Amino acid sequence: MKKILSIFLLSTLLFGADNDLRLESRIYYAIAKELTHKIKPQVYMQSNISSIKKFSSNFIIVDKCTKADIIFVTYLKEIQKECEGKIFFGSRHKTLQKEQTIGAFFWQKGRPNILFYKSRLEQYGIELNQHFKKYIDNEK
Amino acid sequence: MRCFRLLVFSMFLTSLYAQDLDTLLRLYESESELSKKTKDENAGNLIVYTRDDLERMQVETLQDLFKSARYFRYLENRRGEPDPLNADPLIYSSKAIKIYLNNTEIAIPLTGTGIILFGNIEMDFIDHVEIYQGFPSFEFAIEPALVIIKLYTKTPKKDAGSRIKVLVSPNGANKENVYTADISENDIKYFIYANHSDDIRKKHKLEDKTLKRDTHTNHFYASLAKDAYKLEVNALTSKQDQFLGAIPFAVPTDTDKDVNYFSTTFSAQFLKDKSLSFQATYLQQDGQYTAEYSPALPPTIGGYSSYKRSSESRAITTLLKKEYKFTNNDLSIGAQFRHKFFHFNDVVLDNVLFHTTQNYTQEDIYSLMIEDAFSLTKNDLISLSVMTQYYDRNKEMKSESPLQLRLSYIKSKDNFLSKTFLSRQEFVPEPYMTAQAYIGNPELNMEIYKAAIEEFSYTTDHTFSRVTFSYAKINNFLLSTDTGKVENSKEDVNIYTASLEFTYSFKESDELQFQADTIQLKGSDIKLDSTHINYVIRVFNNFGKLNIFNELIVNQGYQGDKIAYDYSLGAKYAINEDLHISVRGNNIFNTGLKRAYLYNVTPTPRTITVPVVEQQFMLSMEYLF
Repeated sequence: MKKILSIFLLSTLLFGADNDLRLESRIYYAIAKELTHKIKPQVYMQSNISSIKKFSSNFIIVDKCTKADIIFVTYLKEIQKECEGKIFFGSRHKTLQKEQTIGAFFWQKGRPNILFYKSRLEQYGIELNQHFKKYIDNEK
Repeated sequence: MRCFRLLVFSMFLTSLYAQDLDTLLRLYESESELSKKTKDENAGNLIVYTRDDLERMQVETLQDLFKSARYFRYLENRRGEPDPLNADPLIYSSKAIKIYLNNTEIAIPLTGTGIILFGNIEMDFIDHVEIYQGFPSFEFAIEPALVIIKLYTKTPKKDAGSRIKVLVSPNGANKENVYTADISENDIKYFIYANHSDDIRKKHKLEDKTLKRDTHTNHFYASLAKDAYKLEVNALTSKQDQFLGAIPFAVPTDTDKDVNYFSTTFSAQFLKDKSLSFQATYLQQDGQYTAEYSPALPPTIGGYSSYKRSSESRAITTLLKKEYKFTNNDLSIGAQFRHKFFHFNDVVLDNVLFHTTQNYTQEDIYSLMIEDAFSLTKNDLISLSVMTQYYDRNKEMKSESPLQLRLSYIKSKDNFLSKTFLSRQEFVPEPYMTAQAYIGNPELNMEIYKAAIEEFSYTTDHTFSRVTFSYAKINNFLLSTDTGKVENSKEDVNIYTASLEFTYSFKESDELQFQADTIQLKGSDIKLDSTHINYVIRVFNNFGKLNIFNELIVNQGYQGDKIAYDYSLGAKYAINEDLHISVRGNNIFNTGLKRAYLYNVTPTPRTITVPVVEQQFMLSMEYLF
């Protein structure tokens, strides 16, 4: 019935409604913290990512990409020239088509995925800790 | 308390992150199950098969769920068509089980349900399944229902990418399907699926004739969505051997049914809170049935050796619903309209056309629904629903104005949940019972169901327990006479049910499930008197890349004193994240449920007994890209 019943039950009892959004926001936070090395990173989103918008206590949401430590992008068009050099991180696989995006957290093939391109991390001089190593791949 | 929970939650997440991002992702995947968004506990006695359940059970067709679902077995009628409530030897019994694809009811006008065509549909494009038993909420349906089965398709959001699957069986059965899904840069979401399957089954010799139940199906489904608008297309062609055929007077030498089905649905949500929804569905189904007899039927039965008849049906359904949310209550108001057209064409006997009259060819159904769910406290929810319909048969038949009432009370406290449902519903006979020239009876009255249902469930860290029981009384129950004509039973039918379920999760991915249920029918007609008892034991085990599934189903009371044991075993191995290989055996010892079907009604009735779910072994491979 449930793959991990105990974890599910624990999470249901603890989290209440919108558990998925809460956890999604937590995963974005883990990524943002790792990429920026900031406890409370400044985040910019042109298109709102609902989980971050709803559970934003770990972030400082800014209104301009120039003020941000990390920019979460949903569409390719959101990668703006004025903010080149900032860390762009995608919420869809397609956003990896632009080389400014160093990684993405997205659903594909029925499962959630985290993917960082090694060359892009190197370009930004970012080294991820061991928990993230398995999510690093070479660009195809 | 709330603050304490948040503190524990925060500590829990911090600890998770420190240990393993994988665990966080797995938890997120589990919490993102679509069923958590779509299920409605207030809507009935609910059984949910999540995507994870379907994958671990290696569910290939809806039959795999039906055969073990609480209170139901997978049964077929004498024509080899899915008929889970099959009780009567002649007429179709499962009209009160409604089947939905997402939010669209597959309402085939002639039978009133799509179960007859989709009751054994392949499940490769389905994300999860919800089964609402016990007179479900009126929010779903334009007409009343005993059971609602909702199949939810996979979504572009979660299933972006493509998958191809191939299944083969030593008996020649096979299935091939492919789907692709994505979200474009301008936010257009699409999902496209196509399937071909040959369900080859054992042939049975009877009176020097060979009876077949093979089905060859081509199926296509596609959805296109942007913002709050969605368009869906569902098309299916089926060519089926019809086993004993429609007529119980002789054994046919050959039977065939060809069906073409098509439906399209447009749905939209309006207002900022999406509280106003609209849906329009067009559906059509054409079919042709043929049967050959050698020697020809006796003169008293018609004296022909070849029977051919086609039918056509169309339905248009529109739905408008508004939801209001107040401090302590949620109010839903809905208006629906359905136009049904159905026509049995003239019958062709030995290549000669015979004109037949049909009692009526169309029906308009107007339906109004109001449901208010009121929170007495944060743990107590009481809900009252009223639905009324008006069936207009264009003065060719008497009009009907049924009324449906439903009261529910749900109480939750910590890990405990109780549900109480009281309902009274009136079912209008379907066109195949009233309009068909031979068995149809235009004088039929509505069936009236009165039911009381109770459910208790209790959850702990590693266990889930549930008990349900119910009583229902049916006035004017519909059944067939010896000549096949449909009539209302003169005396009431009483139905008693009880079930017990227990789930124990003993490792992260290992689980034991037990279920026992019984359903007892008491009626004046001897055909209906029965007591069925079913047991299901299911075990899931995970060994890294290997998932094992074991299931034993025990059925008692379906075939006299004989007890049926259906043991199934499946193993699924992940070669990598994108390539999986599976083997599965159904009814491995060929000791599963059998069903007796009537033939040669006169002069001496005889029966043939055959397995409902046959022994079958399958090998499948799926590749995601």
